[in-house]
Amino acid sequence: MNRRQRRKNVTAGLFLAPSLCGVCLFSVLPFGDVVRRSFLDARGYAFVGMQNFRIVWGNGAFRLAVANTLRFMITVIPVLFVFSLYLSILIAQSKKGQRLFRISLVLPIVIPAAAIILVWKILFCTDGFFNQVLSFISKRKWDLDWVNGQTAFLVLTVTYLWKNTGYDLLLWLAGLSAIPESLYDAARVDGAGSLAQIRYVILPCLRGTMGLVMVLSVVNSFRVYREAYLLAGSYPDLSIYMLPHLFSHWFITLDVQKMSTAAVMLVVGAGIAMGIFYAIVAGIKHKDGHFSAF
Amino acid sequence: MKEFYPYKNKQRKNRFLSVGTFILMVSAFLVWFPLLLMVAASLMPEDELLWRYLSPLGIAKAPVRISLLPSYPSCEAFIELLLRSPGFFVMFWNSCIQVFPMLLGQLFVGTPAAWTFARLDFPGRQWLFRLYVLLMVLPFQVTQVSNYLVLDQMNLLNSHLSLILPGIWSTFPVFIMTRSFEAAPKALLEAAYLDGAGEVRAFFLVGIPTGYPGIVTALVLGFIDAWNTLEQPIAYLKDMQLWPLSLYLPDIVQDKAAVAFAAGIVMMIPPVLLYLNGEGKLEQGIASSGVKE
Amino acid sequence: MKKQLQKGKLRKRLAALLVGLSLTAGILGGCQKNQSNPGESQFEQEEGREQAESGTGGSITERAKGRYVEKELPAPEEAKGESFLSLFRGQDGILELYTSIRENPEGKTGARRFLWQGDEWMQDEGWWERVKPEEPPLALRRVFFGLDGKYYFSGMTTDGSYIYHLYQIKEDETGTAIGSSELLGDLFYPKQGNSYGWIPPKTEVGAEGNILLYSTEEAVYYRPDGTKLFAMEKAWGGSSEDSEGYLTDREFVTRTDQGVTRYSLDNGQKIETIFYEGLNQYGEGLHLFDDGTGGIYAVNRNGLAHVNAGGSLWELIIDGSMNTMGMESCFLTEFLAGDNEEYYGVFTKNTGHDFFMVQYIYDPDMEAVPPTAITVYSLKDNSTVRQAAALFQQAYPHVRVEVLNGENQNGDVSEDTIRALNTELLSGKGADVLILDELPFESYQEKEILMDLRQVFEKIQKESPLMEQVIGDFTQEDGAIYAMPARISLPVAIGEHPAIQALSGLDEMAAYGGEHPLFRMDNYENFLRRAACLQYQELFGREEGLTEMKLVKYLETVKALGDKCGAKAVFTQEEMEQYPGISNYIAPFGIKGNATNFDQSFCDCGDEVFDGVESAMIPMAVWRKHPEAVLSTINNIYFPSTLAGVNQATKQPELAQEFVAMLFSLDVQKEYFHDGFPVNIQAQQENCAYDNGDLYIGTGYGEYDISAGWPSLEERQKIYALLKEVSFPVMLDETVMEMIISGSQDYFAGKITSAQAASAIGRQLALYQAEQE
Repeated sequence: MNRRQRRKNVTAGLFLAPSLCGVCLFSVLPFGDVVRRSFLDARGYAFVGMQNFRIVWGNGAFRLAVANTLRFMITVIPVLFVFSLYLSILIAQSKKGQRLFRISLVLPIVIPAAAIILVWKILFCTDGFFNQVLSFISKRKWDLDWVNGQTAFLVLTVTYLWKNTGYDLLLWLAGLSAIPESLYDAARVDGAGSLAQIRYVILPCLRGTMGLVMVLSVVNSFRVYREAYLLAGSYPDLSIYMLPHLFSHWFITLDVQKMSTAAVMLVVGAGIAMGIFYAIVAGIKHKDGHFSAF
Repeated sequence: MKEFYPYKNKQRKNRFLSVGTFILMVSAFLVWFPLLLMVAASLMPEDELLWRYLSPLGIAKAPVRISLLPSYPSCEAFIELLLRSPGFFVMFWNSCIQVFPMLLGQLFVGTPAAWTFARLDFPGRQWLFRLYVLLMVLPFQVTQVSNYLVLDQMNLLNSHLSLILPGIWSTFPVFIMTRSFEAAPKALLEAAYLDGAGEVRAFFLVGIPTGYPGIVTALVLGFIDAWNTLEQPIAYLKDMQLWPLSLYLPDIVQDKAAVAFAAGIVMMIPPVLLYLNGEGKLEQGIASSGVKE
Repeated sequence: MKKQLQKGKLRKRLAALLVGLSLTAGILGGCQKNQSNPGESQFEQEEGREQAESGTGGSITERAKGRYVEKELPAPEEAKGESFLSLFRGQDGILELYTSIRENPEGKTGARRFLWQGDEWMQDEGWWERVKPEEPPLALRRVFFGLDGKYYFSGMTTDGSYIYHLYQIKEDETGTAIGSSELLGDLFYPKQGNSYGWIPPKTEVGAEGNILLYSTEEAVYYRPDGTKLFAMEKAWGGSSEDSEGYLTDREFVTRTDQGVTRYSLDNGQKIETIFYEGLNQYGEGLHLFDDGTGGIYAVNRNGLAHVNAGGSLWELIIDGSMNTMGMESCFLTEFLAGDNEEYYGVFTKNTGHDFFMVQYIYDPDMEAVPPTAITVYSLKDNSTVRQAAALFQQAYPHVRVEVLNGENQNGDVSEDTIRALNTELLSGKGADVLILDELPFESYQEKEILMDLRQVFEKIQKESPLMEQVIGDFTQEDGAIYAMPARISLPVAIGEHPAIQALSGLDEMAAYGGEHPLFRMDNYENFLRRAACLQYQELFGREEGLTEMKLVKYLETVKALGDKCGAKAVFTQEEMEQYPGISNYIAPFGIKGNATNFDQSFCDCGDEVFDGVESAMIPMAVWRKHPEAVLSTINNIYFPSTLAGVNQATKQPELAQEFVAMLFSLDVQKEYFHDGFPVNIQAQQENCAYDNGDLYIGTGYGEYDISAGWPSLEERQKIYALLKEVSFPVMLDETVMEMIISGSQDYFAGKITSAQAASAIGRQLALYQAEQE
């Protein structure tokens, strides 16, 4: 280990220490407690080994919640990913009104959920706006209850997309802004049209951002619970019954051990998924000399 | 914003991107439509609001009479909110107390950590970083009791610190900033080392300027999250006087619907302003990146 | 490019300015309105610690040591059984009490005057006879002492015209009252076309002999010759005598919507408004009075607060939660200051008649804040609990009881609140006493959060027994008692025999084919709830619980019932106008007051929920009109409420148990707060015997109206006999109800069959159950 490396390590330690201490205290420690509880009984005293895992794994409600959560993520995240990326490229290339578009698309993130929910109800209730429009167009009375029924999943998806497009957009834009002008010039000199530039300049440079967006999208997809709860209550249509619903109910009946167990399984699952994802991506990386922690 | 302008000398507009403007406008419209409904509703007197939205408010069955403009514009809701609800200001202030110190803390604690993950190779870096990421995935409910116990041991419950301290050490900003630091061009860093800069100086001279977009993004997103946080305050703050603004927003109730909308709009203003400010810094950051080719 | 940069800079500056402005506004607003509600402020448990709130305006400070102690001020013998009129300090600062003979059949009126001699009352014999006017015949309403040093009184005519009159008392050289002269006569006579004239709730006379007459929204200042000087706006006040304002030499102080306002008597303009956070949100009255040096006293359930002249910081002098002021069973009728840091208060009981007087004397040695505290938590605000807290604190002056509830501003409770509560409970903290209504108390029992209270109830059963039935229903198989309801209410039906028979089961309800529908039209949700409650045993009570088959029967029964009477999912405005008495209100058990519907022949079964004799007044009146009808319980069902339990992790187990015992004690149980019958047998007997002969209530809409007096002894006995019949407690699981209600909507709208609806609901119920496994 040369002197440079040693100095780097010391600096790393110094820079990292403050963050590490706090993170251990406020995140790792509680998580450790959660792991501990997954091996104890409800009251938190008796050790029950893997019993909780068996119970939760075989629990019908858990399976449904996991299935729905996965279904939601698989549906929504790719759509969001591509759509927000597309929009960010559009915004980057449009000359006029760029700022206006940016701000417009970012606004939904900022609106408090409770405030926008009534608007959603106005649009989606049985006497709501969409039903009126559909009735007008089809000359037939439409009084579909969008939120409770087969369309519940659709409504939730739309809600999530509406709210979070701006979020991912911000991240893409930050990533885009880091691409040096020189690369574009080089591509143009080589005769690349706009599509080619996207393929050979933008996408590669955004690879790191992709990982960022992916992870954050997963994290945010759990946050949709707040909107789902406000719109459809504790026990919504079965198609949108997801993990946070279950966690909340277990919490209310004080089944903390089940909640902890499910959480551990969630983290393990996420870890595995992440590992696979980065394994795939890593194979394509390192060509451009960027080194990354991923 | 760097202008990515593909068809400089060509008149032929790429179909892929000309449809683009149309799509952008549609998206913007989709965003503004509900928002304008909200704004209109907040400017309506209570009785008009009730008349229009009987059904969603659960009063009676009647078709919704939607409108982007109030028939009888009135500032009652805002007046009631800003002048007659002293609780609102207290909560606003609480939100400020809880959010700004947290952001500052995130800056001081998280930025060096992010730099470390991005540029400084040390053993176990990858695994530690992955841990940081995994910790973000858990919904709050799961760790609620455990967090409560930790905060209780530290005697922080029922005080502003119970929200500020855990927030400072959230791994979320580190995650975002790391990515942005990674994108810093290696050439610049090498140049700094050649000039004889130590690690710390390299961080300040190269890291922060090039990582600007990431830092600002992290701060803006962090602000938005903290400003709208609901679960932590209810769990940790028993004393209603410490409650932040996000808890003020009542569930929309019949006789206070307009005020609720007004509150929502007022709540939105600080994050929007912050974002507008931050935007500028994003652009500045790029302009000063100093890469000369 | 440069232009763009400049524009960008400008916008940035503007944005920063706006942020700065809003922050400043927030800061200023926060400082000004930084307040703490005295009733809710957190009291530290360390002895002698000064509690000062930082900031200005509206906040409360507390003294470290010394507390006001309440003592009874006995009323004079002759005043027993009379109505309270006035208490004030008159000539020479002597305390004077005025009472009047209660209205009686003979129409006799009379009044007495007493003067406080320091340790007893002395009556001024024959006072009323001397001062009352020859005519018209008058009943004395109020007596007061003007700032000009003269006595005044007001009265209402008793010859049926019901007109207000105001008089000044004439005295002879010795200061004895000998007669009266009328003032401002015509002002109070009914104007053209009105049946009633002006009846000011309160009147005062100022230093120059000018007269201030209160009205509902303003107070008007007159000269004695009748010229109007000006009017001053005040908050809406009822017609009660409770003063929400007072006069000083130069000012009029009253309550307005923004707080407590001072007006100048020179020109009627506002001088300043002092915000007072202690104002109860529900418009509860605030009693204001002068401190003699320009400061203001304000009294309400929170206690006695004071602000100095020119100040805006309120000081809580007497904490209402520790004495009668905080009790829900009494109204504050009068309050004033004596000499030497004493105060006098007059309270009237909820019944409106009996009054009692108290004195507050400062005890410098008592701790300002009791060293020990217990907390009582309930999801929704509960008057029985508050009453128990007040009485408990009187019995144990060294203990403070903090009553907390989980309601937010709108009175709603969210999942977040329950989660926060559970977090505390799981961490070994949380309130000492828990009121478990609407909480998942079976889970609490299972997870051993609740303490076994069997010994507490053994003791109670020996001393002041509760209903055996209730005790039995809430005792576990192993004899443990984890929760016990302090109140019960029950569904009661009025109808002819066939209708009553029809209530016995789902099939019978659906098959009922009488002249009128069994129930009045209502929305489907109420029908579902009602059927779930009344047929609880059939639906949920058996071994197998709610099967899909039962669900189908249930839904079809409700549909049948609804079809017969025109039930809807939600009523439109037009429908509500067309059908009198119809609303979209959801009653907790689905049962609204249907006795009047039965009376109007809209339905054959008038079902009601009884929670006290008062709630039974109208139904009893209806029953009297229909001697052929039967009044009975329904399937022996009752609804328990105010379920009390103790947190296993409490640090004060004895005190917590004592509090629970207090909840079930006679003094708390016998008060009526519209939240249920007492379960304490002695309280039931006392309530049964109690006769509130003066109370009349009426109701009506459109052309229908009915009025009812207090039920007779026989009727009251009948009501309490019903209580003995109950044997089956019903507590609806709201989650299950929600699933049924939302899952059945499409069926009632005719879009799907009952089998489809039942299977959809069944899946949701299965999910609910699966979670518990």
